[in-house]
Amino acid sequence: MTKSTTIVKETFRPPTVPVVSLKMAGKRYGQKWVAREASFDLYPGQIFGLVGPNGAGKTTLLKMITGLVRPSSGTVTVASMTNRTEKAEALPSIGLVIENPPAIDHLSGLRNLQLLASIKNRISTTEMAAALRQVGLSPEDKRPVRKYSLGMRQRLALAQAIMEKPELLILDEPTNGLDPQGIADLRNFLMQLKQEGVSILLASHLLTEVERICDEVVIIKNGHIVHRVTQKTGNEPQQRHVAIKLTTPKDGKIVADWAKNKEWLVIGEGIDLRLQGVIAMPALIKDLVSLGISIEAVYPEESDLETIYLREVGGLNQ
Amino acid sequence: MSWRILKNEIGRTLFRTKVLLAFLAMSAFDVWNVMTTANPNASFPFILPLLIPFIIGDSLVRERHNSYSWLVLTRGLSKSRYIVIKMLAGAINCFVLTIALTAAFSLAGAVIRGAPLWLGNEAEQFHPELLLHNPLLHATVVFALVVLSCIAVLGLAFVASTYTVSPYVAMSLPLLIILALAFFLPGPWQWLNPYERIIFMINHQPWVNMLDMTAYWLVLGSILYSWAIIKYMFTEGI
Repeated sequence: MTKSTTIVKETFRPPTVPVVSLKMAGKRYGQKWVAREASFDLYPGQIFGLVGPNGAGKTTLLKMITGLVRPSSGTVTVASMTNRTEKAEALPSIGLVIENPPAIDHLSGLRNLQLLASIKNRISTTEMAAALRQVGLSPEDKRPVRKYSLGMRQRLALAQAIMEKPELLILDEPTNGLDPQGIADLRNFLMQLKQEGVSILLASHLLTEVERICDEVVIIKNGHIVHRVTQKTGNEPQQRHVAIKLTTPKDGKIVADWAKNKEWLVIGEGIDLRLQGVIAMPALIKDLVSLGISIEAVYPEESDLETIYLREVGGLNQ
Repeated sequence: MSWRILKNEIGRTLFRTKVLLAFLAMSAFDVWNVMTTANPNASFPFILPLLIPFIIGDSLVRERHNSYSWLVLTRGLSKSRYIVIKMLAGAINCFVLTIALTAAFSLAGAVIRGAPLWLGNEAEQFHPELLLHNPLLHATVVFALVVLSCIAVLGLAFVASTYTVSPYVAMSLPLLIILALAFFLPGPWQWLNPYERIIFMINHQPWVNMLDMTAYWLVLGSILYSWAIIKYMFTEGI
């Protein structure tokens, strides 16, 4: 079952119709499921994060969303079209940035954009030049792309993804090769696109960046969504993890029963317990004392994305 | 048809360093052949069908390998159009490479020998009457056969490209298949062997005639290209 965590952050209020909607979507190659029972919605103006170890199934999900791979189970709906094929007329406006961005190496940045833009033939060279400037590249730069640094190639990939003003922007590891300034620029740029109503799907290993800019994040492991992190307003009740260390094991059962009555999740037994739920720390301590529990320590656990990720993916347990 | 994509596909394949180097090496061999052989027979345009998968056989698989085709297909170019562009560009490149080598051979003949050397001058058995009657037409037909065989063999690289994402496999598999057929095809089936039909143009085996050759390469090419298109269309992903 997918667990969920809420991290306090500024409000995102989704409109009613999602741009992308996955309902129990899965993909099987032979007997092996590379993605299974994935469900989430991406709304206009939302940034949605996919995180997980290599081979977890992120790219397969992205391929299903872009229509290159048909789901073996469930549905993938993009711009009101369900389980699309790769047919040209069925594709909505999607901008795509792929890990290790490919380009035609002997052409300049602008010529690369012209080539890709010729498929839809909807925008002028002026608009392509504007996209290049927007990502910090010069349209006058005549050097072939093979002379670009990795960071410049990444910027070029971003330029080709945004030049046609897509409704949906899909980014697979867009920060690869970017320096800290480049990462900050990308972050600001994505926030700007979000303000303009672009839906953004971001797959990345850079958890701090994902946490910073995403409204919702799912953690994927072995093809499953194992955890969902939603960013909500600070006025709403806060989910938190609290670790409790008791002095006697018999108190553990009392605390566990008491916490379950409050509909909190109890992890562990004996003298080491972890509680998960909408917990106010002062009230918790007061209640434990009034129950006559002998406490050695009570402390809130970090519930940032990295901690949750490591816990779910296995790093902390190991 | 996305003409800009097609134009780029032709240009980027032909002007790659490895293609230019291969062309220079083959031209140099032709010139050497003209200079040192009493009856030069332009070996390298004829052997081009064996080499063509190494030179331009990675055009489809390269973009599957680096995911560039994902970018292209997500933009709305259908898979059928995409592979047809690749194949059309491949056929045009076969033509350009053959004509370039033939031109190098003829030019070498004109400069070194003082007279043009027509393809098939020394290969009367292709069609002796046509050669005597119209050497230029004869040379054109032989040239067309070379182009046709290049295109057909390139079809093997396209088929391989739909089964692998490794450019090296896609480039080398056609030659391995051709050599395997040459060695392991039973005697009665040897007429199916493409290797003999490529080498015949150098060996001048008398049992092959032009009509038979044309039909063979056309049928083989049609089968391979249809196979590659169907396999690519019904394979998920890029």
